[in-house]
Amino acid sequence: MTGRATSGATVVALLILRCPVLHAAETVRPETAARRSLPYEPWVPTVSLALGSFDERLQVRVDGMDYDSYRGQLRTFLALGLVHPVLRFADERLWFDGHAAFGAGPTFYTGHWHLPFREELSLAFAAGRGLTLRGGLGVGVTIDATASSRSFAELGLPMGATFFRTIELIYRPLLSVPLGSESSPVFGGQRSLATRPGVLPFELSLRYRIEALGW
Amino acid sequence: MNTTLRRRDWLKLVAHGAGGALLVKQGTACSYYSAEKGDAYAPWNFPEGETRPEMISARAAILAANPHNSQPWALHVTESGIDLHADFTRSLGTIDGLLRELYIGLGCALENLVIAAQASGRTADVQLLPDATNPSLVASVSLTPAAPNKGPLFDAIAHRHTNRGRYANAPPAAGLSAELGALVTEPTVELRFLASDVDKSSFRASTIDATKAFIDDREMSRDSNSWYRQSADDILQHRDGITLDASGNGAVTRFFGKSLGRPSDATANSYWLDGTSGDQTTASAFCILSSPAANGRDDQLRVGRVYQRMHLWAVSRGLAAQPLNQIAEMQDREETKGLPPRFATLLNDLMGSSARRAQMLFRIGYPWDDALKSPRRPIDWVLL
Repeated sequence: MTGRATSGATVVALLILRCPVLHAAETVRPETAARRSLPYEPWVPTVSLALGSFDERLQVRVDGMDYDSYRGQLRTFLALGLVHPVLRFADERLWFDGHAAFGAGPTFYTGHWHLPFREELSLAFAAGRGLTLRGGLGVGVTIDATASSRSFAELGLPMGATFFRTIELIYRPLLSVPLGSESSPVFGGQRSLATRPGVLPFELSLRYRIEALGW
Repeated sequence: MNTTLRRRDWLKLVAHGAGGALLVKQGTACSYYSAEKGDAYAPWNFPEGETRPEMISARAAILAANPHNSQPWALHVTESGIDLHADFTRSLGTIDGLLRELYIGLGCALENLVIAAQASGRTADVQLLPDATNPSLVASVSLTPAAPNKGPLFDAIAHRHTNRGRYANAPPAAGLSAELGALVTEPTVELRFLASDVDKSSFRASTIDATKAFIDDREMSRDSNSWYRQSADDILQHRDGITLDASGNGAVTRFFGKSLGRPSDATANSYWLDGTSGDQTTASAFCILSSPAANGRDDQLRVGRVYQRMHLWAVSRGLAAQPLNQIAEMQDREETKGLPPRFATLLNDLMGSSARRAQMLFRIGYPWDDALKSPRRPIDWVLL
């Protein structure tokens, strides 16, 4: 690992992706020189604003039959994060990095507070002097701070671009998996409210990389 | 019902966001206030340490359902009884030209009063309209000591709120019609329960038509919007009327609605029509409470008692309800203005008969969200 630190959540990815060829490539280059030549800072704090939608399901069991109703609503959140190194290749225009983040923000209809915690692994490609394209996989969990039983886990596919090493625009469709449901007895049966399991096609983040605080 | 964000929702959000940003820029976005906070909502802390049966009863009465949250009541309370008076200065004007809704609201208050009296160890002997020379005295209730009879309806009094939000797309449980029917103990009141797709569709379409006609009637629109309370100061000052928090709208709409200031009547009407065309006509069933065609005040009071009882029962069983009286309001309007009976005919069609008078229309179902409280005038303000 040549002494480079990694976040706990990306250790597994590192172990899988790390290979001797790349390790050799790293060791032959002095660290400082490598950093100077890289198109990124390995560790960079971020702040981001996200707007996305999510769906909820109200299931009513009446006289032994289930009836489902769905609704979509928007949510927004402000997140703090940290870009961290995962893996570099011999070709310096291509690398893997990770992004750990936590945020907080309201849902638009119910006014609940969502607290998303996320870890993403992205393959980045420096397509030009001021443009880096990226795409990857993310996992996370959104805690509904207003009604914890309506929290859900996420599996996301972040993709986007970094402009001038500073601004990132990320589109992140995700798969949501409810972690619980709000249930109560009602006349004739049971009422149960939870996040809808399924694909949430819309989430857009504007992320600012605070390069000045990178190291 | 599979509801996703519609184009119109997006446009509204963009408009709200732009408007909100403009206000923030101008430094005026300070009128937001939290829901259900402050003295205007204190009466819902019921019975909150009150031990006198007659005061528990009176305090329950002021938490009843009533038209446009106008709270058209006044109470004369003694240890041995309570007189319930109509406050005609709080009528809805052209919306309720025949005072049908005012009397139904008083019936609701009477039902809460009786339930609370029984729960606190009193029998309540009710006399409707006891003094023909005093039209404002709508009921005298004698209270005599008895064993307390505290049931789920009493427990529901402080939790009953009109739920104007979306209800689940689910049919009523098989026993719902019978359970509601069993609550109709007044001999002159009847329940019409509409749960088939055809009946629900007719009710929904007629209600939307009636809402449009209501909005197009400038006098009715003006009288309706005069009960709208926009700001925290308005709410604290009046402690009545329609508020954004009780409107069934989502959190962002309420936030920007409060921050942007009072909407024009046209904007408020547009939101109302949107709500009626959407969330506010989702239901497991629609119900119509009717009286004999003679349309007497005593029957309207009885209808009010039955509606209140049904709403309390619904809340105690995890259901929600909302009055949807636009068709009946337009029927009254036709009568007071001598217009052709278009909505009277629609109501008769929904009732399946013209032999009875539709008094109170409402929807019932499984709610997505809890309803927020409406402001209430404190008991001191309504005691005679």
